Amino acid sequence: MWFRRHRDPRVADELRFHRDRLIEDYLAQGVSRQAKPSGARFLEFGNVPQIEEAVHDVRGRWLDDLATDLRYAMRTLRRTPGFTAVAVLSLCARHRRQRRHLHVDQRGDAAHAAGPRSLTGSSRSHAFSTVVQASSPFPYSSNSATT
Amino acid sequence: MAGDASKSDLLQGTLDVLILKVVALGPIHGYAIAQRLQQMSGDVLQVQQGSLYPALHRLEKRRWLTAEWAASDTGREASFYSLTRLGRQQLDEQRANWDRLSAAISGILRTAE
Repeated sequence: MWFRRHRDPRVADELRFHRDRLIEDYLAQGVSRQAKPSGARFLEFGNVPQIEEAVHDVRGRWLDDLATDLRYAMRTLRRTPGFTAVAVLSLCARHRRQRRHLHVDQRGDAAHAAGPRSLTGSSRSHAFSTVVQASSPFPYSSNSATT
Repeated sequence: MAGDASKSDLLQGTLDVLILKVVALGPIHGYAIAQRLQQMSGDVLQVQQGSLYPALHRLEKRRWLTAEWAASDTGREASFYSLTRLGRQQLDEQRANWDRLSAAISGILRTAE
């Protein structure tokens, strides 16, 4: 999955910064660059790719959680097509209603002169008719496909 | 440090409260946090990168810390951590928990045999 591979390059930058500062400090203390690091010092420098992985595990888990939640949501929606159709259709109706209002706003005074009551009335009856369609016994998937 | 009895292993969860305490003193990058912990503990606590950075990012994810990239004292950019209001609350709570726990353990260990 693409977001499992997605990595913030700044995590590696942060770890490199730490390692480089550690080296600088050792050099400042007079430890020779050629000196073979002891086991303890190896531990102190750490296995950078492994630490990076551990940090990404902490940071990246929410993306995996999100993916799991979305998959679960999709499965649930597929299992309850009636609910899905009503939800989708009412969202579409609401969206259309909002677009009409926006359109009215853009048209300005002329639209106001035409009267908002007629618009509200038509959108209301539209929303009602979609719900009636959705609750009909026909397969809901075909209803949602037509919208 | 492996095999060195004089160095204490950190209790699970203790590192978090120590980090919160150090970050509460002002914005600071990961390397300086490790240095500060070592100094403040009189060289008893040495935090390895492998523990420090996953902990920092875990605390950031919990919104106890925020991270911001800025120039360090050497001019090179580093991620500086600061405490959030939530982090400050956590620090107070965890400090109180620690006081209670350590007093309880000390009480048991000091009981005359």
